[in-house]
Amino acid sequence: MLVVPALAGLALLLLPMAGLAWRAPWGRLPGLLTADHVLTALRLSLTTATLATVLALIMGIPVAWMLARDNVRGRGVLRGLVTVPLVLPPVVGGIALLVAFGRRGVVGGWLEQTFGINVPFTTVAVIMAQTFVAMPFLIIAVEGALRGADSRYDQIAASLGASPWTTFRRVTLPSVAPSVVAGAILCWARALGEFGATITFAGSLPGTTRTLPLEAYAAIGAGDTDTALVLSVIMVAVCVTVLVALRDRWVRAL
Amino acid sequence: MTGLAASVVVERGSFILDAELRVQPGEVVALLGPNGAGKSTLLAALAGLHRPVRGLVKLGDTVLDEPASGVHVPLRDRQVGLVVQDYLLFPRMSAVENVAFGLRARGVARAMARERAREWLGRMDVAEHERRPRQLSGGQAQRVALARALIVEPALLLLDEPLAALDAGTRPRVRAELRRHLAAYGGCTLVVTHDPLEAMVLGERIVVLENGRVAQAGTPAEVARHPRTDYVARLVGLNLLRGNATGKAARIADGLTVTLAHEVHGPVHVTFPPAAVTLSPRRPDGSARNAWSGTVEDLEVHGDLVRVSVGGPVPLLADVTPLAVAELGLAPGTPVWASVKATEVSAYPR
Repeated sequence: MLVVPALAGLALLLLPMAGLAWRAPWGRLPGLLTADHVLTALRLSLTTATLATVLALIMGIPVAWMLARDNVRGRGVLRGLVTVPLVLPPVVGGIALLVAFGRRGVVGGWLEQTFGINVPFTTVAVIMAQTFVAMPFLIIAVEGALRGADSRYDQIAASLGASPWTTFRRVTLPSVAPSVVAGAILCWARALGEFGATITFAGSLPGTTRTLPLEAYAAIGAGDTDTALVLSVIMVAVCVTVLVALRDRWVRAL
Repeated sequence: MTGLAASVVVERGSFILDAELRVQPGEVVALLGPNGAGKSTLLAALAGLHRPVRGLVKLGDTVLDEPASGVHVPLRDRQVGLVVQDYLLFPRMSAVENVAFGLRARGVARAMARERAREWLGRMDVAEHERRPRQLSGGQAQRVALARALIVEPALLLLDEPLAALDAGTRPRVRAELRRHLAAYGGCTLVVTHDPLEAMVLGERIVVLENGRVAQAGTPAEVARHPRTDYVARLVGLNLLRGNATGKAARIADGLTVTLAHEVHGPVHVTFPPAAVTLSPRRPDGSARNAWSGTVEDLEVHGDLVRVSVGGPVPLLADVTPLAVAELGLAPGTPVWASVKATEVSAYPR
């Protein structure tokens, strides 16, 4: 009795991807891939996703460290809030970013008046949107690992005269390195695929904010199915590569 | 030099530790006790991980803990070295990096720290400098952990069951080496163990902790000869009774007395080895003999002998030959008379 719905489920998950592979214009692939606008989008995607991951590492690891500590008040609520972007529709994330950092936003208005900086519809906005959506993956992976780390190592390090910072840098962080790597890869893959928050907060400006997913959407809109298919194939390939590289590791880290 | 002088009351839920402890510089004290006696709690308190609610902990001239005045020095500033049961070598560092860690944390340059670490590993007879902890044997890991703790010259070294993680085959050798290394260290050393042999070999003095209190303290010979609690008596293989002596006899219960070989007065501990006990089916004759009736409760093979637990008004252990067990037909429930010569009985003031 379970086989029929299972097969239906598998078909729903796998058929679209098989369809992509089937319909992809493999013969025209080299030409389409090297088209200027595709290369530009690819370059922009790789740059912004990588910078978003770096940002997530710089800010996310300390957040994870804070959440893993028992003596931080309101930790449960904070953890809940931090993980909201995981399930929030990305469009809502984009609207929220616009409200905060938009020209008339709370922070955005101040930025514009004080420094003349305008965030929305720039490459910076792309990176911010990606970080917003992808950082929770890293935070959750690292927090889980930190929580599982043996705190007695910290005591040994302290008895040897190490400051909390030295202990974190030389003992704690190396011990959770596999989870940091897994979290970062997952974060990067999520950033690379970011669409909703980006198009809302950063728009779709060729060369500045039009990343791969946005380029694929634009191509479909313009009736250029072949380009859309090629871009889709690239992104599927990236996702599969990431998941194979991590295999069951990221599931355990989460 | 005053060494460690600690008098602490620590509360952990419903468990209360109330213990006093002194360790001279250069002295090795073994803290012995059954599971749950509070050994680890005391160790954690000395390390600064549990704050005492009352008392005073002084190391040299420095006050480490004084709840009355709010003084509490954190672990990092205590000059206390830790060696724990599973050693906890930093898994992603080599042996040398582990040992050099304390010096690096104190700002010693990398090359210099590694040089000093190599010297220490040499002193500890560890040649595998670049190996990761998981590639080291238990004995090597223990020596690396010891070198890591000692390189920063702590005033107090705390070892928590340092031999428990080793297999029985290597334990005697590592124990002897550990004794040698501890003898070379000039600071105060406290070794926590539940193994009486370990306490006797490593400790110049033994402190017995039971139910959160110091039950007995003394040199290994004193503790072994004159146990003051049932736990210690069992550990060193002696029967222990308590009574009141008036000359050459001690009253141990209503209507029961023990004949002694020497004169003693007042409250006493009375001990005799299980091998000195003779079991017989009828009351034995002889004036210098102590004899009590009882019932066999349990039999256990102990080397070449059988250790018989005898219950009754005077519960005791008797070591007899398997032949005697067969001849007397001993089994749980068998009534027997247990007798001990007065000359085998030792009595000392409580």
